[in-house]
Amino acid sequence: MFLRTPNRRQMLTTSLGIAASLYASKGLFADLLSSPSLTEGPFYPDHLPLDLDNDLILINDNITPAVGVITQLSGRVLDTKGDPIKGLTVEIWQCDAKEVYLHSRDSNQKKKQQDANFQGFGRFETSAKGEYRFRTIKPVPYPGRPAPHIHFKVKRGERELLTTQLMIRGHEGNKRDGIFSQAGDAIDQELIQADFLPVPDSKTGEHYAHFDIVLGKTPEDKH
Amino acid sequence: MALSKISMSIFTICSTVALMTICMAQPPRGGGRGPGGAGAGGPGPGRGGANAATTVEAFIAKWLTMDENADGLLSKEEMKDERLKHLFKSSDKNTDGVLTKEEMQLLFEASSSSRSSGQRPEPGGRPPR
Repeated sequence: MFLRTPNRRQMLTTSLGIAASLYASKGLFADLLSSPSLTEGPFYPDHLPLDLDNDLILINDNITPAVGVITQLSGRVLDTKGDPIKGLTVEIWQCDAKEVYLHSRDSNQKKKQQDANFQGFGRFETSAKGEYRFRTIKPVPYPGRPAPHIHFKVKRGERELLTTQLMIRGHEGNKRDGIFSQAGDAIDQELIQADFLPVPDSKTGEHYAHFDIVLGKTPEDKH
Repeated sequence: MALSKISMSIFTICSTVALMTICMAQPPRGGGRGPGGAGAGGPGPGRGGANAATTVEAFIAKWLTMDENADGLLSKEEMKDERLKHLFKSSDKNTDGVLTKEEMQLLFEASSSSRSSGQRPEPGGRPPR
């Protein structure tokens, strides 16, 4: 009996150790950290445009492009293991170069100011590699929002998985911006920024940005 | 035999208590989100993701979710998140390719102080856009 006691104790310690490490590795380990969710804001379009494609620079067969710095925006939607997630809908919306959103509460009072050639909203379905791409404008500041930003929504069908925003890495307005400042910790702030850089040798001065989105295990589900 | 039964009971109780402690120690999901959370567009700015760390311990734990060998350090080999390479590099003060808890703490303190002092978000009374 005396000899068996230490064994029991050993067994107990080992069992608890295994339980704890199983929990840690199963529940917490990740290759990638999930993207933070940010406010949707008040201007998700109240009337979706007739043209919903991923080219926000040209509306339907219009030949006049939107005003602004044309930007090739691409990225992937991944899980925390780094595996691509295909068949998700990525939606983006942003104000035009004249600071007007595609929302009647904003545009009704700014009809003359609005860039009628900017689509303001676009959708794209992620490929087998989890990729999405848009042609849009480099975002500009909006009154009360010194950080230029593009709103994002990721959906599976109609189910919303993540609502967030993309900001320009290192933009001077970021630190003065309420949403950026409250976006979470230093990691979260890093995860909502991307470099907007000139496309090498572009004659039209186009820019590009790459923004990967990582969905956590229990993504936000509003429906 | 009696002793064996007693020690089994102790084992069961201890396991239960230990597991409960582990479970309860997890931060609540969504706890960091303020009144202007996703979709609200309300008066307060949207608090960051559900995983936003508000304490240095939580911030270190967040980095260490990528600590594959669980040695309490994050090496650049373990840090596979391309989006965080820049932040990793700038936080690795002694440039040894490893992020220690001390370096993580320095980053947390630096970012917390820059948020609470100096740079104040623009006023304006407008809802967030």
